[in-house]
Amino acid sequence: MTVSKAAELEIVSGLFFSAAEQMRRTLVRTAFNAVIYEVLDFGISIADSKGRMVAEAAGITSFIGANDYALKTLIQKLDLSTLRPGDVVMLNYPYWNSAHASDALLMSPVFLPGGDGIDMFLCVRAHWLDLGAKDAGYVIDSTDIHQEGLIVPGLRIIKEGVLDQDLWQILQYNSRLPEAIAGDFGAQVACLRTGEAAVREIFARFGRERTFGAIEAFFDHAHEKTLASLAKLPKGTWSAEEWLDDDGITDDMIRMAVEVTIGEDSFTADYNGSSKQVKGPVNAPFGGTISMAKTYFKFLTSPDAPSNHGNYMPLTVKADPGTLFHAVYPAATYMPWTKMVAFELIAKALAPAIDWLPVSSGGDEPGFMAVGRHHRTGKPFVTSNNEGIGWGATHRHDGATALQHPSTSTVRNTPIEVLERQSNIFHDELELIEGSGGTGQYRGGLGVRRRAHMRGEMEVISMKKKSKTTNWGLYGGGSSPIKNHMVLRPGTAQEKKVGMYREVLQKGEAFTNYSAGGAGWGDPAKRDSGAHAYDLRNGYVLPEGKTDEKDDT
Amino acid sequence: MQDHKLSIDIGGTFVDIVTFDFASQSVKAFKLPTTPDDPARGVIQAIGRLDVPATQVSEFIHGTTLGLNAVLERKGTTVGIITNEGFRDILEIGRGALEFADMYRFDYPQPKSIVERRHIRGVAGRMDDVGDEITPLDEEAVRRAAQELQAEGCKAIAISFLHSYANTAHERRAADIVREVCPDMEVSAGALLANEYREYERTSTAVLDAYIKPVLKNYLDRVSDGIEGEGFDGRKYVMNSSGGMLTFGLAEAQPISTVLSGPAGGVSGALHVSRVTNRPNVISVDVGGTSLDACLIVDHNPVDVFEARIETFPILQPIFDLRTLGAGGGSIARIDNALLRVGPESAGAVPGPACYGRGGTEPTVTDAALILGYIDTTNFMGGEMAVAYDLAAEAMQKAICDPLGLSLEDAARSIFDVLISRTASSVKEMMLEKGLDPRDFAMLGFGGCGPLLGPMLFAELDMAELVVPPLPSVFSAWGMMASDLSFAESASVMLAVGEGNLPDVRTIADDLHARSLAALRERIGADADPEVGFSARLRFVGQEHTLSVAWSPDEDAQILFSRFSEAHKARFGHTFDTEAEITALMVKLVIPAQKPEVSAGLTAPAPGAAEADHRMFDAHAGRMADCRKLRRDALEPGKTYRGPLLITDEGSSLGLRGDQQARVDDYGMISITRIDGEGAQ
Repeated sequence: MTVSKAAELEIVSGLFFSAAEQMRRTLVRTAFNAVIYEVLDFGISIADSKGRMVAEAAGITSFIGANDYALKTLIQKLDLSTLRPGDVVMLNYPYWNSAHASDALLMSPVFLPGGDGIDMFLCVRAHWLDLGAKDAGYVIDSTDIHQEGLIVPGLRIIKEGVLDQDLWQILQYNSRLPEAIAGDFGAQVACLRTGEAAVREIFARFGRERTFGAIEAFFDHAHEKTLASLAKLPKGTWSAEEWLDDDGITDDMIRMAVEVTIGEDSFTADYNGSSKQVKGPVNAPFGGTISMAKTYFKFLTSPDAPSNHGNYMPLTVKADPGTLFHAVYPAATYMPWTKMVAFELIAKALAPAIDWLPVSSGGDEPGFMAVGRHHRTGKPFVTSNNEGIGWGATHRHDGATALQHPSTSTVRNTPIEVLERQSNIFHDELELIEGSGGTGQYRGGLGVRRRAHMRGEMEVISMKKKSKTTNWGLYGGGSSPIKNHMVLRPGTAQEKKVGMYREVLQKGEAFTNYSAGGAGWGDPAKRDSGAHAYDLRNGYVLPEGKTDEKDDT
Repeated sequence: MQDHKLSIDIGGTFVDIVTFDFASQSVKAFKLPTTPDDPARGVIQAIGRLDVPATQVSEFIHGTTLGLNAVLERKGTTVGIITNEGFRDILEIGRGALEFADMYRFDYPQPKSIVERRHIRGVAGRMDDVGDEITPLDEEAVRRAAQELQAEGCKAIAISFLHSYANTAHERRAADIVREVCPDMEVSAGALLANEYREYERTSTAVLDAYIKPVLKNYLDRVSDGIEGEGFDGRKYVMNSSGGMLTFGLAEAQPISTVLSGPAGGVSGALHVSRVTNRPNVISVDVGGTSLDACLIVDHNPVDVFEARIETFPILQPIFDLRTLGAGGGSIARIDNALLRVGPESAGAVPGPACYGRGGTEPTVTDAALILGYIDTTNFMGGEMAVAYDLAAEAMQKAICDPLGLSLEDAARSIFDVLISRTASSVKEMMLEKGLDPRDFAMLGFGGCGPLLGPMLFAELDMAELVVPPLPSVFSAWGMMASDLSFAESASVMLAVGEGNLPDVRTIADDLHARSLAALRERIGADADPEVGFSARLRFVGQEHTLSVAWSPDEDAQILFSRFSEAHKARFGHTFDTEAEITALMVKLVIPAQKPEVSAGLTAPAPGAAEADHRMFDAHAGRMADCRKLRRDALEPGKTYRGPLLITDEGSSLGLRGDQQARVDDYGMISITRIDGEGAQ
């Protein structure tokens, strides 16, 4: 037993983080589908009986706190007195669950000795491959929730340790891939059970009183640390707007806006200046909006430390029901691109007042999917790639080149050799677009160009929602001369420039995928001459008057 | 008469030297300070300090971090890349992901590429995913590129083409052309180093290999000349990263396989101990000044991986799955608001812990150990170094005791409480990732601080046994002597598992065998007659990750599939009955070496009194206690010693809690177990 409270606090908090980490390793180890174990499309958390997050293990960067809103909603909607030890509750109703219907949240209550009800909650969300949405793979043009998959609104799928066969058969018969979802469900349950054992061990060792005391103290610690970071930020109100290409149904651009207010001990992100919810599947569930804001808030206040409820106490996120950032039934919500394009809105609002913030990245996740039958084997394939973009420069250095969008910073691209083996794509080029970073005292990172032709008929789904507008630099820094887009059949009479779009290409036909560079920071005239010479020598920038890529928009 | 074996391991602070006398089966060890300005000098000095003439040494095995340091310190050579036209930026684009530690750094400062972009040339020539040539290689362009890169100052060229794993012809031809037009140029070709799919990872492997090649070659040449000048006339080997020995020639040809050679020696030793002493499941825990490195041995086999990282650079090489789980002796304790933190900042070797008196003012784990009596002050680091209790106490008082209102002892034990809890969590996570349970393992603790942390760590993990080998602080160097000469090569397969494909797989296996045997014989002599072992890497169609299973070409497809399926179930908790594919075959050629016996003869006499009174913190009783201090060579084999007790060795000390007992077994290992009836506290 420890003699120092400071040591005990560190130990108990460390054990909760380890419990979440043990849940993560169990999920990754046992999951069936690569979207979980390669793309890391999951979120894991441990919360107290009030739904306050004690520890988490995020897979995707912006899944931070993604379970919090879902858990709080479940606590409101369920009759908690009906829950029993060994229960597992399933939820994928987007408006309660922070994300689209393919994200299945499983929650289990923990009843500890000496208590008189639920003491802790464990949650794990993961992307399931199919729950019977209108299209296999991905949905880009749904107009209501019922086209996006079977809905499970917080039901006990395991009751006191026993799987509910009725509900289970509904799930199995409504999925195109019943074996895969069975496997992933099993992995998520194993993840919850691992977490429960670890949590029980902590309480067994330190007792209820000391453990709950440590949790409160740890919330306070995180809160104080966050307030200390907040104290260093300027106080006031700033706003910014950004444009989403369209909703997938019409061509109209959609306005997204934020107003950020920083007070002595508060930070408010208000998205109410944004569009009303729209017809196509780009509406954000409010829980997802909160996660998006939390993720950027985390970068601003505590990028290094693992976070808990205390870190987010100063944060308030606002969006009225029925708006783009607070979708209500029956709005279509399948496409998470809205949250990517809006991700840096807080930065855009604050960057004029906080000079150390990075300026805009390429602003989107400009990837693609490929669906078809393999030119050699005739077998069906579905494969995808997340394309790197340039990141924004900061007041100290150039932006990073060819990284994933900041909100998905841990996701990897797909190797050329994997794409060419699994699909009908054959690459003719994959290189940096020279001069694609915004100019500045520190320049933006570079985007990439990918040229490919088809070795057999294949459907390509270009996935971008920021192909019409440019990104933003600051203090004299420029934006990237390249926007995210794809050109289908370049150089032919059928050439077509697209953002979010699906089209069948025939054997021999081609596409070129472009990703934007990051924006620049500061006056280009102040750029270090040695750095400029290095860039010229290595083709990161081009001599005056030359362009690698004619911007066609 | 050549009847001695010698191993030298260069670490951050010390050069560890171990000699083994075949005739008497005895082992001797000593340490010298490193010579960072010229590492070769440290090796040559060590040879001069042996107590046998260098002429009597038949084999010299070397562990070096030179290649690794060249990468970390960016001191490699100027490298150019020749790749496909239109694909010059494979290395810089990479996989586009940040490490977990950086995932919320939206102002991420990306390091400059290790190869200047202007030194990358694309040439026409293209294979597809099954190895069919789509465009022939433009040989003239290769020639021109090599000449230009040479003129621009490149000393080494990495060649990497798309799908070269499926057909190496273009890479082989390009390498020949470069050597022909630039005879002094070092050349590394991706698929010839790692015959595996994934272009970025393969390119990165080739680039790092090229980057360190001249550095390692110069170094090994200096070492060779120097030790031969001292009269050495035996065989020379370098440790590779997966526990095998390479001749100097093989290491120079493929330096990337040596980058993690230092810690591999310890795992190699742990493997030998596991097999000889019949402990099937072992976790090797190597604790030095800055880090704790752990590796699992399951059922007498080490856990290997085929991809490792140096910083963010992937390298596709067979390598022990060594995990750095954080803190070593130099980790600094600090108060952060309401929490007591230990690490990740480390005082390293310089300035080092406060008690070293080299200017360190923050309390470290070593300082806490000194305060609790876990360190034998009369014989620290085998007497090579003095430690000052006063300096440790002063640092502790100021940084921890005063702000928290704790006594020196309570502050020091709190530091261990934090450190051990976190390290135990990391061990649990590492095991859980593979579906394993710490309670099924014995812990082997070594390195300067392994015996210090071992008793606390194995108790926290509720493990049955802690084993401390003889000479724990030089165990990595000793472990190198337990290695065999081994040479591995792989070949890409990319075929479904099934009887229909079996003839093709066997042909690939035969070619691989013949090719690797020829390469081995070319390097070490025509009479080499190695043992041959094959393994296959498989996955279910649609997966990216693979599992490796033993397989011999005379076995059928059904055996291969069921072996893979079982391995998949063990590793991931489930398996499928869908189609599996073989991504690669690997052949390992092994020439067994004569190894030191694992026996009591290993014990080296340590300075100081054989037995003395001591005062030390007993974590079981929760207070400082009077106890005995015994020199390790004074322990009688077979006799049981109860804690609290401090056992001192050359360079390390082992503090038993009141609920623990120690016994020296038939192999000279100290086996520490919990005393029955004394529950862990």
